[in-house]
Parts: sequence; C-alpha cells; structure tokens
Amino acid sequence: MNRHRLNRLLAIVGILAAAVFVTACGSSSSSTSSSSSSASTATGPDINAKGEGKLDMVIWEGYADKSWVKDFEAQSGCMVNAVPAGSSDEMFTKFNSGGGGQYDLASFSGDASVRAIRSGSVAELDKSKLTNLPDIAPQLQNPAFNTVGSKKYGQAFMWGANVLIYNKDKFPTPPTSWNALYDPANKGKITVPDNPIQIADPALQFFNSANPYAISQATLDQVKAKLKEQRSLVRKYWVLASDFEQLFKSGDATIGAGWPLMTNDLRKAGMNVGEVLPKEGVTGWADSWMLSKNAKHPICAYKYINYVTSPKIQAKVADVTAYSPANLKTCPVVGAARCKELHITDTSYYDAIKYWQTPIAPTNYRQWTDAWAEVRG
Amino acid sequence: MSNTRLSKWGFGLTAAAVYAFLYLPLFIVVLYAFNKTNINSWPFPGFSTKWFTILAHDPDPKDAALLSLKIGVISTAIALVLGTLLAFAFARFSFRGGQALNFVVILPIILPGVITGVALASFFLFTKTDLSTNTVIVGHVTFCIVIVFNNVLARLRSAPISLTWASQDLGASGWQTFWYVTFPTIRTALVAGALLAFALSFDEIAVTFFLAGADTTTLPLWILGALRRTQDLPEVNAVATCLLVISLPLIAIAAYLMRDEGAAGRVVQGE
Amino acid sequence: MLGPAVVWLLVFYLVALFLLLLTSFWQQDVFTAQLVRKWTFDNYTKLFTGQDGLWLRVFGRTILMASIVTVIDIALALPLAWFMARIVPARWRTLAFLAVVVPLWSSILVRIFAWRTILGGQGLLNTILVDTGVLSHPSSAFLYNDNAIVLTWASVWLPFMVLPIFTALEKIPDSYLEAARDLGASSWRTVRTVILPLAVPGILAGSIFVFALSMGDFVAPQLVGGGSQVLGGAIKDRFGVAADYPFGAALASLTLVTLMGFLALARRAGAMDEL
Repeated sequence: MNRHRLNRLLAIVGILAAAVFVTACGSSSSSTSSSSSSASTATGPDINAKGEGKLDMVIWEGYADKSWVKDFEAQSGCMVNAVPAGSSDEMFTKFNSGGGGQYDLASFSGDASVRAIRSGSVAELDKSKLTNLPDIAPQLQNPAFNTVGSKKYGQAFMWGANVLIYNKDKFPTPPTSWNALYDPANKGKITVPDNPIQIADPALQFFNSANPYAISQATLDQVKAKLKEQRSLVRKYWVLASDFEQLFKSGDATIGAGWPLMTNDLRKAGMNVGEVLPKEGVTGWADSWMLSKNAKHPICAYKYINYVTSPKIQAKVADVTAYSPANLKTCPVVGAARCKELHITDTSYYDAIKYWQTPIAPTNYRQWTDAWAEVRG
Repeated sequence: MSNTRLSKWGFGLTAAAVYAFLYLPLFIVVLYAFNKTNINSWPFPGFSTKWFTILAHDPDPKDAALLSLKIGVISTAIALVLGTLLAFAFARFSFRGGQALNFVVILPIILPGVITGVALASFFLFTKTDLSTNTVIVGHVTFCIVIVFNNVLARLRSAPISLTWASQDLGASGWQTFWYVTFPTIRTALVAGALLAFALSFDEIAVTFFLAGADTTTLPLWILGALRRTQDLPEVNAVATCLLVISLPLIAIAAYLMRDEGAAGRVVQGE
Repeated sequence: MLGPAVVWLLVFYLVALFLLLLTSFWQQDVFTAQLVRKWTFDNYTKLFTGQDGLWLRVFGRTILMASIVTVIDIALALPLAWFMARIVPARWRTLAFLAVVVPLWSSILVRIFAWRTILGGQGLLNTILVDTGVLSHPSSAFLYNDNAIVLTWASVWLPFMVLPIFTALEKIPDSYLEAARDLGASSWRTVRTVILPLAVPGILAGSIFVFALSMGDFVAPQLVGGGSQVLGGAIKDRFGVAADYPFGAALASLTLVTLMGFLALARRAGAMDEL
C-alpha cells in the first residue's frame, strides 16, 4: 500500500513547501507604516463597558504588583497576566512574536516605543478614553517617544534614571563616579546590564557625547574598547532586576549599574545598599503603556492604563519601584516630602536624564548590538 | 575480565562517587526546600517547613502545574495515535524512503530543543499565528511522537507477526485482530511510551520557551521565572521536591512495564 | 497509516526547519525588526568572517565545551554502567538502574540552579574549602564562567550517557567474557578487545545526546555562566531578546548542519540502533 501513499504525501508536502516558498519570495516586504497621515482618527472602546475578563501584558518588573493588581481584578473583572521582560529588546520581541496578538499591553521605554510605532504593531490610542492624560506632567503629555503629530500611541507612566548601586558595608565612602565600575580594585564584584543600550552610558559619561544615542563609529569603537576592558572585572551581566538583587544578596556583587527598583527591593530585604547619581551624568528611561494593534482585550487594556496612571495607584507603583510617576496629582496623595523625593514636579531633574532612544545614525542599533556581542565575547 | 574482590571494590567505590556527583544537586534541591531563609547559602541557614505551607497557598505554581499537566496529556494523546500508526507502518511494511523517514522521525529527539523551538517560532511568525497553549502542544507532540514510535516499534518487531496471520486465517476481522491480538501485545509499550512522553513534556523548557503565549506559563516557565525572583527560591525547591515525590511511583510503574523491553525490563525481572 | 504522522512531521518539523533555513537568507529592518524577504548572504558572511571572527570563536568554544562534557560523561558513565550491568547483584540491579533515572524526573531547571548554590561565593564548595583552610577567603573562580557551565552540563546530562552504555554492556553475553578469560586474556586485554568494542554503540548514542544537548542549551549558561556567549544562548538571544531572526536562524542552521554531520558519522559507526 504504502509506496503509493507515501509518494502522494511527499507530493503534497512538496506543494506545501513550494507554496511557502512562493509566498516568501512574492511579497518582498511586509513592513507597514501606520503614520501615513497625522490626523487622529482613533476611537477606543467603551471603557465603562464590561471588560473581556482578561488582560495579557509584557511589562517591566514591578509594573503589575499584587498590591494593586488584586484590587484592579476585583474592580474590573479583568484577570491580569503579566510577563516580565529584562530589556527593551526582549519586551519588543515578545510583543511581536507569533501573530503579534498574544499581548494586549506593553510598558515600552522610549527606545522600544518608537520601534513599536514604526513597525505598526501598536494601535493609536483614543485620547478621550485616557482619563488621566490631562494630569500627566507637561513634558510627558506629547513626547516624541509615544506621539506622532496628533496621534497618540502611548500613555506616559513612570520614568527614572539608571543609577550606581553599591553595598554600603563594602563601600563606607559612597562612590561618586562611574569610574568605580571600571576600577580594577572592584574586580569580580561588579555587575552591569546585559543590554546593548548600555553603550550609551560610557558614551555619555566618558566620551563627551551630548546625545549618547547618536554617536559616531569612532566613539562606538572607543566605547567598545572601554567595555571590553570592563568585561574582565564584571562578575556577571544581569538580565532581570532579580538577577541583580540575587548577586547582591549572595555577596557575589557589591557594586553595579541598576535601577532604583533594585535599591528599593534590597533595602526592603534588609540589605545596606546605597544609590548615587554619579557626577558624569546618567541615562534613564520614560515608559509608556502601549496597546497592541491585535489586542484581544482592549477594554481591559484601557481600564488598566487608566487605573495605574491614577494618582493613588501611581503612588503604589512608586512604593514598589521607586521610580517617578508621570501623574502630577500623585503629589497631593503622597505628600510634599515624598513628592520631592520622587522628583514628580522637578523638571530640571527630569531634563538632566538622557532617556533611552533607539540609535539610528551615525551608528545604528544593529551596530550597537554587534558591538555589545563583541564585548560579551 | 576477572571480577576479583579488588576490582569489585574499585568499581563499587567509583560508582558510589559517580552516584554522589549525580545526586549532589538533587540533595541540595531537597535540602533547601526546608530552608528557614530565602538565601541559599552554606552552611544551611536552618530548618523550616514554611515553604511547603506557602506553596500550598500559592495558586501560581498550581495553575502552572495544571497547565503543564494539560499540555502533557494532550501532547501525549496525539503522539500516541500518530506514533503508533507510524510504528505499525514501519513494522508491517517496507517502503521506499523508509530509512530517510525513520531519520526524520527521530530527529526531534536528537537535535537540541532550541532548534525545534526556533524553527517552529519561525513557522508561527511566518503564518502569523498567535503563540498560545496550542502552539506549545504542537512543539511537544513533535518530539513525543518519537518516544511512542520507538517503544511501540521495538515491541512490534519483537512480537511474531505469525500471530496476526493466524488470527486472520481463523477468520477474524481486521478490527478483531487488532483488538484481541495486536493491542494486548503493545499495551504495555503504549503505557511506557506514554509515561516517558508525558514526563518529557512536563519538564520541557527549550521548545516551550519559544512557543509559549502570554498566558502559557507552564511549570518549567514558572520555575524559570521564580528562580530569578529571589524571594521565592525555597518555594521552587519545594515544588521540585514535590515533583520528585509524586514521580517516584510513576518511575516504578514505568520500569515495571518496560520489564520485557530490554535493559530496564530484564533488570526488573531480576534476571 | 503513515499519513497523519508524516503530515504532522513534515508540516511542523521539516517545513519549519526549511523556514528557519530560509530566514537565515533574509534581511531585517534594523529599526522595526520586521523581516524583509530579500535574499542575502550577509548573515553567513557575518557568521564566518564578521566581527573579527567572534561568531566562529563562540562556535568553536561551544564545540570545545560540549566535547569536554561528552568526554567527562563517558569517563564517569563507563565505570558506573559496568558496575550496574555486571557487578551489582541481580536483585539490586533494578535499584541501581532506577537510581540513575530518578534525577531526570525532578525539574532540570532546579537541578541546574542547585549548582549555583554549590559553587557560589557563600556556597557549599567555598565554605568547605575555607573551613579546611585550603582557601583563606571564598573564591569567585567557581561560578559564573565556562567551567561552571561544563560542570553543570556534565552533571545534568550524565544519565543520558549512562543509560545507553548500560544497555550495551548488559547485552554482552557472559560467555564472551568467560571465553576471553579461558583463552588467557588479561583483564586489560579483555576490556580493550571485547568489552569496549561492544560498548561503542552505547557510547556513541550517549555522546550524541550529551553533545547535542550541550550545543543547544541556554539555561545553564544563563544561570551559572559568565559573560562569554555560547551557541545555545546566542540563538536564544536572537530569537527571544534581540529580534534578530535572520542571524539567529543562521546560527541555528550552523548548529543543525554540525549536528547532522556528527549524526552521519555516528550512524556509520552503528550508533543509530541504540537511539
């Protein structure tokens, strides 16, 4: 029997493979651009309607903490499912894998948010459905990283700086310079992010790049050499915030580049850690909630955006992450002292940070990724 | 080779050392499930069973385990049907391209999971299929087929085909022959293959990693996440300890069923 | 009868592998990460010649590490398998066999992670070495480097080497060994001319598993490895993090071809019957 059938099957598969092949070569480009016209046309769902019962998101750690998610679930009936990402790249990749509809929301930083807009994977938001938008800090109302013309693709959420974190027991005098991460005296005790965007840090701090995301090939080479030197001093490159915390807890690392979230978490865990903004300047990020074009639960997505950008919840997010809330009305909720501590209204502090962007020219992000791979070895 | 007393002791000690190497991590896993703190340092910080209590009240690992159970059962069921049919085709007929096909069938278990994973990820990216529990099942079935196929084929090849002929000569219908003659022969091979396939699916990470959708947190994916959230470390060890305790009887069943299947079989029979 | 399984494997495996290969000849928009279906050899140029040979070094290092792990596991598995198959009294043999299988049924992730607890700054090994005075203070040389990966791989893949070797050794009829002895062969000669040749298919089968598992693993490098990249981790990063699918596909295709070559060699040596 089977010779016959097998041959027929092989033929079917041949046709299948050929079909794949033809489709593959036929459409030479599938990139879509969503910013063809600048007039806003988005009409969001009825945010007061009953939710779809579920919400899938890919987020930075700390952006869906139990301390408010449980209340949100009870209120909205939307069961939250949040997957943490360790880098903008990972978040962007997860968001776009498969058919691009497995996640409703992402909390993209400025570098990934622009890529998401340009790749056409996120939907324009209906400004009239963003209940907290009027209260967002002026500089975050229509930032370039989530807005194109009058089209709004993201709702600003939290922002902050990449800081130098150290174990106070091992560093009685606080370090004041990023040089501590390149100092052979700290060999084997250093941890830095496993992330190509990290290239911006030395570019800013040691090679006088006013815009560390638009650096020349010469600067990139200099940065690469410096990072290669650093490599032998690094205990481990961290991927998730929790990697960083674990390295500190186990004593494997005593100093590193991280986020305020880690200082916050480590202090809660009883560790004696300090955090500084070194004199050479800092990079940082500003995050936006973005909605997938293929979102299966848009009502729940809008509900969550509005929930976590409300002053009360912004205060809770700040408690978990130690990042700065975008909503100015958080100040009356947390009080003047905490408001100052979180720099909520401090625009000069905001302006001092060089926010993550995806490098395009003179060196592009592929060159950065390649350089980073060379540093890793 | 003369199994002198000396060489016996030599091999015994070496074997003991290798067993120790094999069991050291397992020992650490179980020990730290009873850790008083959540920092895995040595000397052992102190004994506590609190993590099992925490585990009992934590819905996340339970949901993850149920999902893994579901994926394992469905993948195994599909693989049972496909793998058995394939094994029959190979055992009963010879056909052109059979050797090549045999090679393709065993490939998914020989090649590392990351290859299967990224290949299917490319496939689903190409077909614009959203990643979900279903895509994970597709990945798992692909390597589970081999397990069932190998087990059933080995059994069919060792069972005399004459029984089937006798049944047919005696006027049994095809279905009757299958039900009364063939099926009893392969029954235990099916169970053994199913158990092994399920076990592989349940602990799979490399393929799953690339095919899991937003809400497809299988137990290994939950564990991977929890390993990086330091505060839950001993809870992860508690999960692994529970898995071990649950699987011990399953291993015993599998070994018993495979007793006429070669190595393990002869061993169980104490031959 | 063949139909359903063949269709399944062809669609979900061969077509998928084919697409992977195809992807490695495509380009990608750097900024939006969208695949651009235009033919290019750039990914392979980069793989073989780019970045001062970085990727060939990663490839070579991974092969070296996988080979070391394979050799270590053969060295550990041979005496253990011989002990299980030939020395343990028959009634204990079940237990000896199951004892190798049991670790496989506990989460592999957790077992890999256990090595972090053993090798870490405050780990078992350091504490013992400091307490016994071998080291004056804990060393950071054990964890977060290639050695830690090799050790971890050797430990978690070991059962995959022991089981096929055990099967091969167990099949050797007692009469062969008796004949060798009766003919006056020394122990060493019996091992060399009778036992090892008969164990070769088992050793090869085990080596294929251990080598392939090492070539593709990304969990151990992530949990106990240091800064240096290995192949499995690099592939995972291209697909799971960096969204550089074409280059990731090129890396995966290279791995695939390497392993296929290894398989073809092993097949010629008769290992496939044991798989």
